[in-house]
Amino acid sequence: MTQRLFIAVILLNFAFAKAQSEKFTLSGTISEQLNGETMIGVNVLIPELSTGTASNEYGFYSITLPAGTYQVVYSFIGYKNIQKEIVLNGDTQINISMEESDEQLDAIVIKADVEKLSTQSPQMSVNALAIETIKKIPVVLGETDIVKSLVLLPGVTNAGEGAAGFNVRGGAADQNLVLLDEATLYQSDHLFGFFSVFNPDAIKDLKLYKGGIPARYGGRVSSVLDIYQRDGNRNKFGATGGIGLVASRLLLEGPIQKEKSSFLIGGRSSYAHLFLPLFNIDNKAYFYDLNAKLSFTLDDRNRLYFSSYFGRDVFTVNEFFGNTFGNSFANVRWNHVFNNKWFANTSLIYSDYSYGLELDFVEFEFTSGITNLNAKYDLTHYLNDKTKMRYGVNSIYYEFDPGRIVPTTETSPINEQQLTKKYAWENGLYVDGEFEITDKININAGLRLSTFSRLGQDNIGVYENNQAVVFNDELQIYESVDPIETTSASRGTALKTFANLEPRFSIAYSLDDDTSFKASYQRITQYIHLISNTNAPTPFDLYAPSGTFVEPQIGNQVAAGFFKNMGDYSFETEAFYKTVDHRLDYIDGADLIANDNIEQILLSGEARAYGLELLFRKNKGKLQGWIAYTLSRSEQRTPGRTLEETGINNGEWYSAAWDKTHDLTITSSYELNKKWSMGANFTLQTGQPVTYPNGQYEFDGLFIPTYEARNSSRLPLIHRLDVSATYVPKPDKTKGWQSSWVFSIYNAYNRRNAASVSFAQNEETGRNEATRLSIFGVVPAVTYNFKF
Amino acid sequence: MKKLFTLLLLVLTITSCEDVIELDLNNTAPRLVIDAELELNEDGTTLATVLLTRSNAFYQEEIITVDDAIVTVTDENGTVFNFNLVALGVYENTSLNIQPGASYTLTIIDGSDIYTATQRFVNTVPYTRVEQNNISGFGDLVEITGFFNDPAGEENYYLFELIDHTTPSNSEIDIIDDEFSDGNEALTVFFIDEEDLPVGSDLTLVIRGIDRRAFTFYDTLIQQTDDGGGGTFNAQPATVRGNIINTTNPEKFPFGYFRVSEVFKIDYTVVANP
Repeated sequence: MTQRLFIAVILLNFAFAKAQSEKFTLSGTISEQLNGETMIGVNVLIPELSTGTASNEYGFYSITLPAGTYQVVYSFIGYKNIQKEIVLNGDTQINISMEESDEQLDAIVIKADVEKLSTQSPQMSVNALAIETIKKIPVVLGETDIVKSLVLLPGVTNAGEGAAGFNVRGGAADQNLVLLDEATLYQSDHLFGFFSVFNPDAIKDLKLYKGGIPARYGGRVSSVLDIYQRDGNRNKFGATGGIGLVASRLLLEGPIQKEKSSFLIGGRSSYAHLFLPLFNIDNKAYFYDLNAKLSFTLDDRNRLYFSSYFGRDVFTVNEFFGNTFGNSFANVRWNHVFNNKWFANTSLIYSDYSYGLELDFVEFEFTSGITNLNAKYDLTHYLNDKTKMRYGVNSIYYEFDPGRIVPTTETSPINEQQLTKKYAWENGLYVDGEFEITDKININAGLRLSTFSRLGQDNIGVYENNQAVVFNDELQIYESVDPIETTSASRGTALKTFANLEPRFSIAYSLDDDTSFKASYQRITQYIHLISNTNAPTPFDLYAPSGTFVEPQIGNQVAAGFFKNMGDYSFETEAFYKTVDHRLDYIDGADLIANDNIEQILLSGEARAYGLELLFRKNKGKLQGWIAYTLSRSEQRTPGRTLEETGINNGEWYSAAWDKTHDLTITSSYELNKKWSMGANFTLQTGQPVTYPNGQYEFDGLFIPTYEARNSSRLPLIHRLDVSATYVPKPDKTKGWQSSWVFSIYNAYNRRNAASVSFAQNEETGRNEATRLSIFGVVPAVTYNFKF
Repeated sequence: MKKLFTLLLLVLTITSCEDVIELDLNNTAPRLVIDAELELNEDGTTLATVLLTRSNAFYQEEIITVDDAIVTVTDENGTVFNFNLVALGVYENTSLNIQPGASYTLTIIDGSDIYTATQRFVNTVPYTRVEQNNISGFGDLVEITGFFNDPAGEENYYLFELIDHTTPSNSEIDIIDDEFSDGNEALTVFFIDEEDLPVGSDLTLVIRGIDRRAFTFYDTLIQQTDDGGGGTFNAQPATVRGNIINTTNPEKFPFGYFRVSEVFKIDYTVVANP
């Protein structure tokens, strides 16, 4: 009997031991209780094992642990922590609904690195802004603007008031990959940079990667702005909107089938132009956006999403000039969970940017644009609690249409012409891993293989010596050359193919729970280039693909940083150095408009940027905010191709148009009481680079200034204070009609910041003058926001 | 056309505040500015003039003329035509008759520098008619359009001028190529503020034939006048090089251009209700 018992005990022991060493996966989807919206980045912590994970872009989480019973904590800023006791003796699926916290939802929230998990994460150089924060930041004309809010962070700037696009760590505006629900957007602004294309009510999450860009992203050298739209309330119908001075917005959402599917449809439009006829001005300038999304949970393992966006800017001047341009996209995505450890997302995307111009006095219409079809497959493998692998493939087919010009009347002087369309096929294949090496060291290592094939087209120029630009020695200028012949090739052939390996690496070393050092390296290839020789992008600037005459841009960036959490405060600093090879530059006097053979005006140069970013934040309490300071330099040079050639600007380094030596931003918000909160931003920056004249002459009745070295001077210092006050009349109301008023004053002390300086002769007085243009003086605004 | 396009874009930026500011600017060494033209008029006569001035510091409005240079033009046969000073900085020759298709070489001796340029004659076509339109868009404007017939099958470049004899400050130049209008009835448009152009103003529209290099020169030149430093739509300021070189000292290149063109003119008087 005792022998049997003994054997039984031993067997039981083995059985138990076997069970002990066996691992099981805990996974599921995390959503908001209120509306069923999936939640990104929710921390799933198992404190007793000092480990955890976070939910992905689709709310899915997975962690593999040894069998046992654990207290699992689900936590996310602004929501009540959920603690569950989980007995893990088999693969378990637990879906979680998070409830918003009753505590005063503190005004400014930067998704915290306060949790130990995040300081340990090797992901650095990323800023994630909560949409609630962005809505409270005062901006011009009271319209919430994601891009303008990003500019308040260190390392992000723009080329001046009214300049479109944004610049990250000294990079050009075309070097940012802007993704909305995984679709590429080619323009992030409306009305020349005064508004962004993002309807804040439709946004769930956004992250800006300034460096340490993971291998799953590619194609743009400087940054990735990854934005996810909300899915729509799965439980009940609702609407959110706002009425402002210049623009209004409305978003409708609700379930299609309760808790299983939802829809979201939002629109935004400006209407200031409706008042212009009162002043006898028959011009129109307005924009509109439409966002639509459908989300379906097919079953426990499958979700399907349809998203689309359509936005346009419209300018007309009294019927003799009309201009329309904007982005649009449609995509379908399918999430599939294989077996709790494997999460896959398949996306099929169509996106385009189109530009249209009509000039009645010359009787023609001009349209141009870029279209792409994109198929992506991304797979995440939650190997175990220390390892997460990602694999994926991304394929993009591009069509570039430089323009089609069509006469609008029979008497038009214009002949119909289609400029040569260009085609290309870009592919990316990546593997990426997050590894916890020790409990102090985490690394993220990845490799991306990118290829780009420039496909056949009509009108391929063949040039003598393969040179489309020659240097005229006598006159010391570059000149365009006509091709000696033109050939064509079918779209199925590749004129030129590029392949590049892009290693990505980042490492985090934690000194303790609150302190860490991080370092990263990235190499990224950019195959399409925005052809623009103005200081900031204009709507008719088009992208051109790499090919026989244009090499892809290759960017390398190293960054190192120090991060510390100190209770209510946190401090981070990063230093970066980046170089870009094959940055395009233009010969003097280059004519970019409707140019079919841009190889005749291009020269290849290089760019580099380096800097130090400091960010000091107060994350809790009634007063919250941050102080961001960036000291940096961004420059470019284009030396001659041979010793005899001068290059651009004599082959010397010159400041990029967006170079800002000092950039200080102080953003703050103060919760006065339940009904009132105040916000203030202060910006202090070095003025934009500018080229000053060093003389002048008259020729053929024209007044011509002569100039110094490119961008060798600076416009005056820029500084500005913006303030806002938000009033919530019924702060405790959570059902029915909820509203708030936002009063803001942009540029409170009316500082005339120079956007540009022009040099001309005053026609009336005959005096030579420098005239400073400043765009916004003090601009007060009121916006009424509502929700039901 | 090109100039207009750029102008339209500039005006589109919300005009909110412009202030004249004083800047402390550097001065570069002055250069010779050569405005040399040989023009074949409709009636067969030739106008041969050269205007020589020097560039100056930015805030110095006075125009420095060069009155002691030696100016000559040589034709393909080696015949030398001397230019005589007829007004401050203005040199003329009355005996030169342009031969269509011929090439001419300009030589200027200014102190110890010798400048030369060679240019072939470029012909062009006359205006067929002028139309006026009063529109409002960017304020109240008068639209003056000159029509001409672009020859088909050739690469043509044009330099236009609007001369306002009543209000000389309204005078403007513009350029166009025939890339999109080859063989058609083409046009050039000028917009002038209605308040600056009273009814009855005497205008002359001029059309001149230029070649591709001159077109690129004027294109770059006009870009320099429309904009300045900084600002979103401004292209980078560029060194505008014409077709004249300094043979003694290449670094000390001149500004300006030597043009040999066929010229046509058409007169127009501004009416009240076109």
